[in-house]
Amino acid sequence: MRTFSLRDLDSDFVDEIESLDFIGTFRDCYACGTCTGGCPVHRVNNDYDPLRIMRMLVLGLREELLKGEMIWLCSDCYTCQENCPMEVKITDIINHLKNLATHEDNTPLGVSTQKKLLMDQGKIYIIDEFDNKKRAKAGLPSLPEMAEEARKLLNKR
Amino acid sequence: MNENIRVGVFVCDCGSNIAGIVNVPEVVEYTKGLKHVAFADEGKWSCSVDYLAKMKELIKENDLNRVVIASCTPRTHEPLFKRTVKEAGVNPYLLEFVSIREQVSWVHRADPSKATEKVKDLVRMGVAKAVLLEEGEEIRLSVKTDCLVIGGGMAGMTAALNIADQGFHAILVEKESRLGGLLNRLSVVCHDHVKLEAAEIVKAKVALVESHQNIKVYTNAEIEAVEGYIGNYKVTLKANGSNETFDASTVIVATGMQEIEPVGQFQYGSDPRVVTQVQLEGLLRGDEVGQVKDVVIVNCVNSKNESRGCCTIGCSVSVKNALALKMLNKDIRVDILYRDLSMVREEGSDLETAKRAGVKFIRFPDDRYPEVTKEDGNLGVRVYDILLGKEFTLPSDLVVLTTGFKGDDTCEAIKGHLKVSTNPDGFFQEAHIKLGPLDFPSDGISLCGCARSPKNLKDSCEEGAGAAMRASIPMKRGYLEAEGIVADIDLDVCNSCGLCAKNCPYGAIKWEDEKPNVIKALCKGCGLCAADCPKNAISIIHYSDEQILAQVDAALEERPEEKIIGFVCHWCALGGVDMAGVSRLQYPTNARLIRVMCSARVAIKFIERAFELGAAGVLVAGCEFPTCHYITGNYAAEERIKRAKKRLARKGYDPEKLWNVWCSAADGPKFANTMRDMVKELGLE
Repeated sequence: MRTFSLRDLDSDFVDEIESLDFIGTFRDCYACGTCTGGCPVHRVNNDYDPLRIMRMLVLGLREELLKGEMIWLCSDCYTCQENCPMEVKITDIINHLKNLATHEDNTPLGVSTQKKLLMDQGKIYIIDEFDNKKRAKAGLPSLPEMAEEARKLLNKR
Repeated sequence: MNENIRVGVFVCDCGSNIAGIVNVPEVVEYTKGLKHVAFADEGKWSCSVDYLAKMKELIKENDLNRVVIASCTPRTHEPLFKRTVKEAGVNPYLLEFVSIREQVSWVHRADPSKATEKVKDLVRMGVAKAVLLEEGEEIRLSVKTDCLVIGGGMAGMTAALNIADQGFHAILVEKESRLGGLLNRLSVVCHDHVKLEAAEIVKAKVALVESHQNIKVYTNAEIEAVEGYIGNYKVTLKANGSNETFDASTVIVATGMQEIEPVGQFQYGSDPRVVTQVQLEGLLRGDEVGQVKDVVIVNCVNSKNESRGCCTIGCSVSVKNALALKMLNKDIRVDILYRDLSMVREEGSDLETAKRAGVKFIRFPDDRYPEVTKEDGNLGVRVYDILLGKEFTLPSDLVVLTTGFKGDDTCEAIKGHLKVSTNPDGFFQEAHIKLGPLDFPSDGISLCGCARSPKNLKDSCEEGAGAAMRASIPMKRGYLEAEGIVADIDLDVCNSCGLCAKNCPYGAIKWEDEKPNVIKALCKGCGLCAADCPKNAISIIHYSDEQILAQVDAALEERPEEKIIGFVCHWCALGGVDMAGVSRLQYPTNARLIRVMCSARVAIKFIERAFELGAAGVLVAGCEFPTCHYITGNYAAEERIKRAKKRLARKGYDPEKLWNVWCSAADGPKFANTMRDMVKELGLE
């Protein structure tokens, strides 16, 4: 098992996240585990654990959080956030962490592939001539390529 | 027996509670035929005002000098009937109470005829004892108004002030050179809302104590000896080199506590940068913390393990001091390593403040404590975070250990002087955690503050006030009344073996001129001494050998082979019997119960007599361990039962027919089950 030194931890990271208005304080977390208890992802995959994310955040384990895969397993259902007795905005925090990771190009392969598909074609599922022929038979209009619009949207940030 | 004994028997219907099952008129008729019974009557509601008035008339009219009440249970109604017979001119010790509701009608509802037979037996037993009853009287001891307070910490000072403010006299004894106790070594108390300097709190309290005309303070003082009992203590004090003796009527123990030094653990003792919480308080108080950057606090050191419980104050102390460090310099890193955080009420908001101030909390597992490491002179703490499943190394230039506490060093000596006990953690043991939290089993001595268990300032002061109130009750009244059930030693028969004085749980038997002398004020009447006396020289008033043996004889007059003689202690076992009754738990009718004050009263000869007369079995029932109304009576009873079994086997009786049960006053099912099991095992079904 790796031994971490808390000297390496980033206290500024904790302050920085906490200073965001839409997040507020998460240090009130008293580790009750209600978030994990209600999490539908945790139920099928023990590797994902919102409480662990909160603890890592409180201690300032920046690298672990942003370079790891854990945050990407969140399904964004908001159950943890709704249940939290200390009103910690868990899902909002995880989304923010995903954004931070993306900015640092720390997206897992699945997510970066999807991003590439969107950039290239404007869609995650490729619609080719075969699909459009079938659509025509069913009396539906053919779908245009939307790569340009998607790129515009994605580059906005 | 010269006097003309005239027993009156009053059998209660309790509405239909008793009369619905038991044929009360038949019992009354039967009773009238018993020897010495001059009168018997049936009462619809015997405890009603009307009937009590009638009872008084009947006692006078019929010139009765012994009264047997057959009704509910002595645990609830004995005081009422005692008062009634007293008002009728009969000494209340000449009353015998027979329980036929809890022991018969409520628990044998399926068999009215057997229930009626059992009531006849119980009444016959009651009459047999009543005939032998002797007059007794309450013992009255005068209590003056001097109270010795041992320990001049916050609890002791609060107690002394509360005693003194009532106009009583307090003698406050402190072993150190100044008052204040543990608080003299602390920095601040109660951080978040109101920040109070410990020194200021002590100063204010000491000013009140020292200026009070009713308080005499001794510092640098040590208790040399305390002799006597409530209302009559002789205290010898060694203060500033000379001895002083004075009288006191009551005693309050407020000796406080001390940290368990974690010598050899976590580099404590070998590295000055590893300190305890109290030592940290000292540094904070003296502004000597210095330029620390990383502080690691380790909680639950030497507490919450196999040998000691939770110290109850460590969590809040660690959070309080973490905040104090943060206030000193917000850039100090403070990490608290904990197992569980129990913070309630206002402490909880301290916790919130600490978290927001950036104090980090890391939870470690019970079986994997942090380790203090040292590399190239640098201290570090290695901790396994149970929530993350990761091990961290925390660099540190100050490690603070939140250690457990134990009673003060003076505990042992005080314990000997006052003849009270301590618990395995080295704190004084109260009489009962709920029923007598500030009392010792001996009258006149009360307990408060950290001498009892670790406490915060608020709780200590509250207990000081509470203990003062406990001590004030007899001082206000001016006397203490004790029940006249005490030991009486026939010195002509006594061979001075000394067993009674050695075994008395209250130290009530003093050795004077080679002979035992019962201090009636101290004797509680448990009967342990009488049961073990090799010369049968000791009698317990109201529970004499003759009286109890007469009950055994009366119970086994007819068909002894069907009967189980049960000796039940008044406090817990009879409570269990009553609870079985109240709960209407049905069990077989074989038992004939004899009440004793404590299971320790049950002499082997009682048990032997029952078997000699052909009893099917004998049951001894007492309080559940480790509690006993008489401190350790049930332990003595348990030992004696082992000896009794050997003796029975030697005499050719089956020792397996001697049973015992230790049940709490709430455990009706346990008693009922024991009766069922006994009847089954003894083949009485």
